[in-house]
Amino acid sequence: MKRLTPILVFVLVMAACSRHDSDLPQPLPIIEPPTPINFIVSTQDSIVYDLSWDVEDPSVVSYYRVYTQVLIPYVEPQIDTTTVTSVHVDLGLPLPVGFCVSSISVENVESRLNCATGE
Amino acid sequence: MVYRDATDRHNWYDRRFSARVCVGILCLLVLILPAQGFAGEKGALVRSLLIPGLGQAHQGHYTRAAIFAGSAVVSGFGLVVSHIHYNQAVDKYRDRKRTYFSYEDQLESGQIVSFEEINGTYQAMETAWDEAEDRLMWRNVFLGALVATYAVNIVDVLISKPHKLDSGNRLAIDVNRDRFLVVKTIRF
Repeated sequence: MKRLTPILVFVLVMAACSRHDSDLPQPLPIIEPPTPINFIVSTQDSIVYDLSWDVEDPSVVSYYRVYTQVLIPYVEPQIDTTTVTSVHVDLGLPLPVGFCVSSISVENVESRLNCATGE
Repeated sequence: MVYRDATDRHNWYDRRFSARVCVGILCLLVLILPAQGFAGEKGALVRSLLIPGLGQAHQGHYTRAAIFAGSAVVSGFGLVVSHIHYNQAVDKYRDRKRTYFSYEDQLESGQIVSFEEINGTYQAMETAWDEAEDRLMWRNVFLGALVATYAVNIVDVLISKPHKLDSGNRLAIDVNRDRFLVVKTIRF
């Protein structure tokens, strides 16, 4: 048994050895900012658009990002940032595009997008 | 791409380690077994310590030797394969964990990070952790099977006696009028 003991100890140590965390780490204390709601896109000529939206708790929002929903050559998807809940967009060309808006929290976390097309 | 390279390198290390272990065991066998002082029951114990079933074969219990050797080969092969799979799962988990906790630095440095991306990475990390736990369980199952095989094999070789009938009658000559037979008796 004296010879068996080191072998058994080695095997038990190997069995107890795991290379990953025994518990899943806790999530980072990141709070999702409120997604903009009641997003309305209105246009008269498909060139100039008026966008407006609401947000449940504006106090946690630093600013908003506005995106075009489709990719257009030489046009950046993100077209504007604003601290207010409405924006006037002039595309310069009659393009039937959709728009999306998101809110950015004071911790630099971006919310989910809310998208809508022009009416 | 970086993850793939790291995984390939890790597998290569694992294979090289396994090959070294096998060569080491073979060297031990070559060096120890022919040495004097390992005959009889002591020799059977040493052989069973090195390879399950070898001691039983030395004692003349060939069926039990085959069972122990087969069990050791299956559980040993399963242990190596499950250990490699476990290492791959751990690498994947660590990669996701590193990505997830890098978001904290990115946010502190002023970069905008989508909550969906952060949440998706956490879920991917959770999935990788579950996978690592699952593969660790299988590795320990095969390890347990190998340990049990070794333990039962050693207990068996300690309590069983060599076949005494074989020691005196391993070879016999059966002479008839027109022929003679050399008979080798093997007991199971």
